[in-house]
This record gives sequence, C-alpha cells and structure tokens, in this order.
Amino acid sequence: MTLTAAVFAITFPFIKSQVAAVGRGAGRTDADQVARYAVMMIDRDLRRASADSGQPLLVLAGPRAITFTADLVATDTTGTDAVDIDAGVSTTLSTAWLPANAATLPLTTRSYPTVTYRDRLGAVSLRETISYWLKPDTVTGRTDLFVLWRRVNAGDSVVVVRSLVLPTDTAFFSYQRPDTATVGGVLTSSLRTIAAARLPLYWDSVAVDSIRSVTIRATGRYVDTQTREETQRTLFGTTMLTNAPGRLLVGCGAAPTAPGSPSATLASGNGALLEAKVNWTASSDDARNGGARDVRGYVVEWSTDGGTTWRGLTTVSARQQSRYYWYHGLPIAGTASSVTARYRIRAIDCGGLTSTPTTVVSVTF
Amino acid sequence: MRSSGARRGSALILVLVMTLAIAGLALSAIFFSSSSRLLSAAVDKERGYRLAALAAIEMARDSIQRFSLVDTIPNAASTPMQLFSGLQVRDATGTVIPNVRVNVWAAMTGDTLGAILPTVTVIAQAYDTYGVRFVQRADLRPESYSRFAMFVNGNVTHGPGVIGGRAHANGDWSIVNPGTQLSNIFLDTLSATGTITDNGSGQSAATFVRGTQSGAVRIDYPRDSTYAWMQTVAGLAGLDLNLTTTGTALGGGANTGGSRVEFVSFDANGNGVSEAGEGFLLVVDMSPGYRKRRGVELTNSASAQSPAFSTSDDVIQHQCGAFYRRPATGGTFRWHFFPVSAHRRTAFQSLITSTAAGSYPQVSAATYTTLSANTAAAVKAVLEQPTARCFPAGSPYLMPSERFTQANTLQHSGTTAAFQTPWGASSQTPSGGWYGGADTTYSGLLKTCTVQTNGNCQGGTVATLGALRPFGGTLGSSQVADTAMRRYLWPLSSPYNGATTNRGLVNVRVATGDTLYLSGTLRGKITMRVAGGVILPDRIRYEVDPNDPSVLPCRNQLGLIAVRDILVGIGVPARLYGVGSGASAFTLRGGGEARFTIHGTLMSLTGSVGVDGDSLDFGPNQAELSCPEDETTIQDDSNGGCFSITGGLIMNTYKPFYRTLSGRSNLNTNVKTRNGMRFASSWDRCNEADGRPPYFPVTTRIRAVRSLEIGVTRANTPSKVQTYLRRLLGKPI
Repeated sequence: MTLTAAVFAITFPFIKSQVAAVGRGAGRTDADQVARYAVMMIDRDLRRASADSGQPLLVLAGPRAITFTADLVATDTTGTDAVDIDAGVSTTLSTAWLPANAATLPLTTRSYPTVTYRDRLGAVSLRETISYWLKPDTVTGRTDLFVLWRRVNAGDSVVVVRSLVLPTDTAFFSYQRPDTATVGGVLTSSLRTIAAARLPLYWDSVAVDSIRSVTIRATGRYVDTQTREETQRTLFGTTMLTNAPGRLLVGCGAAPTAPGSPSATLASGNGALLEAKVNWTASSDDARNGGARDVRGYVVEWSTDGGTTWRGLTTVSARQQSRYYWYHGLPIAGTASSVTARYRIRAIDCGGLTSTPTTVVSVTF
Repeated sequence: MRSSGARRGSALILVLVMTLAIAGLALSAIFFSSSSRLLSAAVDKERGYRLAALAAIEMARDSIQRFSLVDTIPNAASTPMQLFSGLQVRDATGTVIPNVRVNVWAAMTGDTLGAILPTVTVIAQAYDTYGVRFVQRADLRPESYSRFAMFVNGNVTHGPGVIGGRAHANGDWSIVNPGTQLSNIFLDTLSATGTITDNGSGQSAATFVRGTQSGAVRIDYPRDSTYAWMQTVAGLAGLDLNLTTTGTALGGGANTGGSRVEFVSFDANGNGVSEAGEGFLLVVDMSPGYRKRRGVELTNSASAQSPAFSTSDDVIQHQCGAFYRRPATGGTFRWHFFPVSAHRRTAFQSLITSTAAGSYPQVSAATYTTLSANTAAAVKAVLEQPTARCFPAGSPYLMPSERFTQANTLQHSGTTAAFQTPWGASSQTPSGGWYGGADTTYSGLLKTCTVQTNGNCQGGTVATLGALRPFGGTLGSSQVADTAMRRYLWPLSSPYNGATTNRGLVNVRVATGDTLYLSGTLRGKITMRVAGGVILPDRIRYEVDPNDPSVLPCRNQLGLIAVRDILVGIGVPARLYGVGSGASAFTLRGGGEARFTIHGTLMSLTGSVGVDGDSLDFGPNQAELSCPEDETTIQDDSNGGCFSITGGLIMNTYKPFYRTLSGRSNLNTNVKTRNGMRFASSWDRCNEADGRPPYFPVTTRIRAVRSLEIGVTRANTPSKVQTYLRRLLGKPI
C-alpha cells in the first residue's frame, strides 16, 4: 500500500500536468482550427471575387463585415466564369442579386442592390453577392465573443464558425490600397492600410475601387471544461483581389473644388469666327494650385433653353494652367431667330467626381 | 490474512493501469500535436497547389509576350496550345516545389467580331500523383495600338505641348525645351526603348503625371501584309472601295476615277436622334481635269515659302463662302450657305440682304454691294463674315455653285448636257423661291464653269467637276428616307447596310503612289485601311465630342491604317492661309475654326502622321490666332492654327508639326509660330477602355484582365479543358 501510495504520489502530479498539457494542446488546436477555418472560408470565396463591367467588386468594406461579388456557382455550362456547376441551386443564389430582393447589407443600414447588374450582352449578371460578418455570440453573454456568418445574395444566413474573439474597437477586416510617393522623380506605389476610421466604404464610393487586398485578423478561442482555462490563437490572412479594377485611383478623394471666374465671349470684328471663347480659372485642387492635385480635367456644359437642361460639351484636360480656354464652334443649325448659349464649368478628378459648377455665363448670336 | 504476494499483484496492476494511462495521455498529446501539424500541412499543401498554378500562369504570360505568341495561339475552336506539360515550379529560392507539377493550355477566346480586344485564355492545372488538385484560369488581353496617344517606331524630338495619353518610342525621346511660358505635359506614362531626354529644366522641365520609363521593352511595329485580309472582309459589306479604276459616269460620259471620301453623320430616319447605324460615307469621283486638286486644294501652294493664294482661285470662288440665317415661313428662320460666286447672282440678293431682327450676320444694301462686287475686296468681305468657311467639292452646301439646272426650270436630275445653268442663275424662273446650300441639298452630278462678273457661266465653259459615286452594296430594309440622297450614302453599319457580315471594316484601294483625301463627321465605329497615303483636307470629327461627359466613352471610333503618310494637306483651305495681297490681304480660315480637329487613331505603317508643309510659312504676320487650349496671356499664337488630336498618332517615323525658323519664330521665347501647326492633344476616355476600332492592330504586349478559379472537375483532363475553352468562344470576356 505504501508503495502504491508512493507511486501514486509521485505519478499524480506528473499525470495531472500531462493531462493539463494535453488539454492545452487540444485547446490550442481547437482555437487554431476556429481561427484558421474562419480565414480559409473567407479567403476561398474572396480570392474568386470578380465582377462584370459596372458591377462593384467590393460592395461593402467594413471593419466587421465584408460584401463582395463573385461567380461561385452556375446552374449550367453557360456560366463560364463560375467556379462550379450545380444544377440544383436556386437561380436566386446563382445569379446577381436583384433590386426586387434588395436587403440591408450586414451591420449597416444601406440597402443593396439599387440597380440590376448586367453582363456585356445585357443579360442579368451571373455573379452572386457574398457577405461575411461578425455578430456577438449572445449565448455566452460576453461582449468580445463573436459568431461568423455567411450569406449569398439575400439568401439564408449561415453560421460559419463560433468562438471568435474580437476585443472592442478591433477590426476583423482591414483593407489595403495603393499609395504613392515620388522617389527620384519617379512615381512609386505601395500598399497601405486604410484607416479604420474611414470604414465602412460602400460600393458607390470611389475609394472602395482602390482596394487591392483584404487582411483578416481572426482569433479563435477554446475553454477547458475542467479548468475553465481559456486558450486563444490569432491568425492573419491576406487575400489579394486579383480582379480589382485595373485603374489606379490614387489620390482620388473628395470631389474637387470648383473652378472660378468663368467668362464667355463671342468673337467680333473682321475675320472673327463664330465661336464662343469660354475660359475659367483653375480649381484650387488643380496641380497648378496645389490642393489635392487630382483634377483630371474640366467639364464644359452648356444650355440653350435658358438653363433648364444642361448637357456636357467636352472635357478639357488639366494641364497645370492658371486659366483655361476652350473655343466652342457654335452650331449653324436650327430655326430659331437667335440662340443664347449658356456655359458653366466643373472640375473632374481622377475618380470621376465633379465639383459644383461655376456661375453661368452666356453669349448670344 | 492476505498474502504479501496478493498485495504485490495489486500494486502491479495499479502501476500497469497508471502506465497505460500515462501512455494514453502521451499518445493523445502526440495525436493532438500531429493533428495540428496535419491541419497546417493540409492548408500549406492546398496553398502550394494554388500558388504553383498561379506561378505557371505568370510564366505562360511571360512566354506569350516574350515570344510574340499572340498571333500563333489557336482559336478555341481548334485544339488549344499546350504551353507547359509536367512543369515543375520553383519557389523564390529556386528550389523545386516537391510533388507538384503543372500543365498549362492557351487558346484565343472571347469576342470574334473585332470590336473588343481579343482574349487569350490560359488554364493551369496543378497536380500530384493523386490527380489534378487545383485549376486556375486567367484571361489575358493584348494591348491595342489605339491605347496610345502617340507611338513612334523610332526616335522622337517633340514639344512643347500636351500629350493626353500613353506615349512610346522604339528609340530615343527628346523633349524640346518649351521656354519659360509654354510647357511639356505628359498625362500618362512616357516610355522609350532608348533614353528620354528633357531639354527643359527648372520651370521649363516637363511634367510627367504617370512617370517615365527609359529602356523599355521594344514593341514590334506591324507591316501592311498583316492586314491584307481586311479587304476581303470589308468587301462582304460592300465597303471595299476601288478608287484605282474608272467609275460609272453619271453624266456626259465623264471618266470619273475615285478621289475623295467623306464621313457623313445623318439622321437618316428623321427621328431626331443620331443613332449608331446612321453613319455613312460619301465617295466623290473627280473628273480627270480636277483629280489632282481633288476639289479641295488651292493652286500654287506646294512649294512657295510664303504663298499668297489668289482670290480668283475657283476653289475660293465656288467652294468658300458664308452662312446666313434668314427669315423663313411661319416665323421661323433658316440657314443658307452661299459660295463667293453666288453672292454675285441677283437671284440671291434678296436673301443675302437682310437687316431683319434675327438675321445673322446682317447685311445692309450697302454691304451687299461690297459683297457682290467682282473684286478681291469683295472676296475678303465675304470670307471675313464670322460664319465663313470652305467645303470640299461635292458637299451639299455647295449646291448654289455645283448644281446645274435646266434653263428656266428648276429640274436638276443632272444627267444630261441640257443642264447648263448654275442654281440661282438669274435666267431661271424661281418656282419655290431661291435658297442656299444646306446639309441635305445633295447634287449627284457636280458641274463647274468660268464665272462671269454677274455670277453666271461664260458660254462654253461648263464642265463636269465630278460625281458622287452611288453605293454598290446591299442596302438594309431601313433605307434612308430621303430618296434623293439614298443612292449616294454608303452605309457603314446596319440597319442601312444590309450585309450580314458587316464587321465595321472599310478598305480603300488607291493607285500606286496615290493618296486618299479623307474628312468629315463620323458616326459609328469603323477601321479604314488605305493601301496608300492619306491627305486630310478638312477635319475628321465624331458626331459628338469624344470627351463629352454626357455620352458613353467610345460612342464613335475611327481607326485609320494607311500604308504611307497621313498628313494635313498643304493647299487645303481648311488650314489658315494668307490670301490676296495689299489692302485686300486676309487670312483664309476655311474651316471656320482655328483648330484642325481630328478625332480618331491614325496609324501610318511605313510613314508619318502629322502636318505636310511643316516648314512652310503660311499665315500672315498680323492675323495670328491663339492655339486653343493654351493660355492666351502668353504669346504662343500660331499663324498655322492647331493640330488638335483627340485619339492617337501611331507612326513609323516621326515628323515635326512645325519647325523653328530663324528670324521668324523662336519657340523658346514663346513668340509666334509661323510655320506648320501647333500641336494640341486631348485625353480620350476611350483610351482607358477595352474597346478598340474594329480589328485595330494589337501590340505584342499583353496584360492580365481576370483571374478565375475553376472547380477541379470542370477541367481535370485535356478534353475537358478543350471543352471549357470552346465555351468561351464568342462570349464577352
């Protein structure tokens, strides 16, 4: 007995420590699997992201939710871009999300989609919209525990994995976009993370088009049922958006400031041409004037019905001038006794955003 | 009492139990540890397959570009090209990734109609001994020459000015010092296989919005033989124009060889909307005596350093004039065009003379006396109207001088010698009231004569100037509503072109050493191949400005491929010229604008694209016009006006747009340019799109446009890969 007790006395701490070690190992594996599974699932869908012309690749870029476009499944072989074919999938889950089924994007109040996205042939796009988002795990009562959900279009929400830890004010998703610096007179690019304060970004913002990669920070959790000891493992995964828009929208921020001091005159005198000479001063965001230096050009608009309807005439390239000139060859057509041509000008930046227009100037001929 | 042996047995069992427990725990620990490792290994393995496939696709892309394989990769209807078989991929250290091999296939897929850039689809399979584990697809797209704002297959010395898009030289690029007030701006990347030299510095240094690249990879320049097939395809739509042979004479049996082509944008169905199919060609066959001038060139202009054209030149007399807005019926107004000679015809006096409200420009009786005199001063007065301009022969605006009618009637079918009286001659009796030329007043047979003082023809001088060539192809069911115009308008696309095989190609055959005269307003998307040179007698514009933000990019597209030079002509009245002498000297602004606007991508396979007579001194000293788009506060005026291109200039040899002449101009100090034309380039949004003029040549460079993962079971055998690629043929990618 004494010997037996001695053996037990000696081996018990060892066994206890071994059991604890095995438990911790199992916990680490479990926590690791939770985190890895979350990263893998999102990565597997996200790296397949692609879009038809005019369709947003990234719909929502939030700190705890992401929505993107991808062609994961088709019901027949006409969907040549689809990863897989499954004849049994509902068309609501194998084609583009339609406005008729619009719903709010996860963790936002924005409804999507607002238009029907089509392919180049005009048919409804075959690309689905996939969402991943984190919601608090209400079962535990803890505020830092989350459940990862997935949804295709407006279909059913499905739990991907539980037991993800995310401290307050910590982002699960982060996004990188190109940034530039002039080194030795040469423009060079690198990827920089968008500040969390700027998130979320939506499909209708210019900035979302500049995102080139997504980083996921996942922390899995395991609690030993005996000791209540908690184990956490954190994994990072970065997915490059290989089909992100090719256009580099570097430095395209808010809409540019308006150009100024417009003027329009009709040429006069012998040899004068029937042209309106329209001119204006550069936007303060024109590279000439510093500012955001992202002005790509100036849109000249005109109206011949008193300013009720306006249409564009042309876009004059920005070329770092203090004052820009454009000559409008006036139309020799129509049956009116005279025409008053009104002009106004907007600055347009590299992302396509336009400034407010200048005041209106006019000529009559 | 138990025996000690029994107690020892109990302890032994306990020890054995404990040993087994410890062994179990150890095994569990090993299992958990190995489970974690296996999980990581599985993830790494999958990543390895994926990265191997991606790496193989990049290697395939490099091979296709390096060895210029675009032209040799088969259409997906055939067996795809296997680029790699059993390829072992190496990691960043050069070590072969074990147990992973890759197969790669490529085929041409996507659009087969030439409107979109062709696509090369590459499929990479990553496999191991258990079979294919991962399949990746990439769509690659060659770059079109229409992507470039300026491309030169040699050395360049250019500037100052703005280049609105991508620029490249297969040689050195030297940027001319712009001085202190002008500038050189490159709105997209400038690359050169040689060196890039900016001769300006400090304030005069060039601005590169998207950087430069010296020592760039050469982009091989194509040869005309590559595009000979275009003739066959264009012919299927009735758009293979043979201008080397005699055409069918419309009147008097004239020998009417081909001469000139004009783009016409016309609301054919009269619904008030310019639709995609409403683009046409007008083909003008000039009679032998007029072929040399093609109805557009002024005489004696080719070699003089400072030519002063005569106001009595018949191009000025018959083809230059002014528009007038005059009261019409019902309280409306109508625009009329009257050539200089028509001002002398009494029949038009009451129309030209008007000071009524709404008339523009107003002409008093006294002013009419000045305009209608048979003097150089009268020509000057007419052509200094703000609405003055010149038109090439055959333009409908020239009806008052080119349409001849039967005496005392207004019949003008114009196919017999009986029609000897110019429209508006006073000997005729007006039946519906006289009117001037408009955009719909076409005349099939063009006549000319020596004009008398009163504007009528001298006896015996009437001659056939030329004729409009009728369309010989298949008309669509939706024909042009105006029957008088129908036969002369060559429809470029459906529904007016009834050919089912219309691919947007036009082929023009000219005699060896000859040139095509090309101008007009284009609606639609076409590529025109000319087996000779091209002279631009007037502007080539799209029906809306390509940078009009209210319309989609690439609404209209012109690709012009010429074997020889594409140049703005020397003697064309649409350039700025000094005309007359002494007090009657004036600047002829035949185009009505200071800009010589070109919309389109012009490509010369063996020559240059630019301005002919770049060293000739044309404009008068005191009538310079500012080159638009520049700041008029600086002295950058140009007597020659501006060559304003929105699109691309693709050429084998660079040709200057103007030259610096000692004592006349000095660009470095920003004084006026008295030769050639100033250069102005605008950004074309279409340059950033994947569209191109139909079948426009592509370079040897390719870029990745899309990368897609494919389910393994869809392409895990060669036959499945072929089936998959065939499904992409003809699909928009």
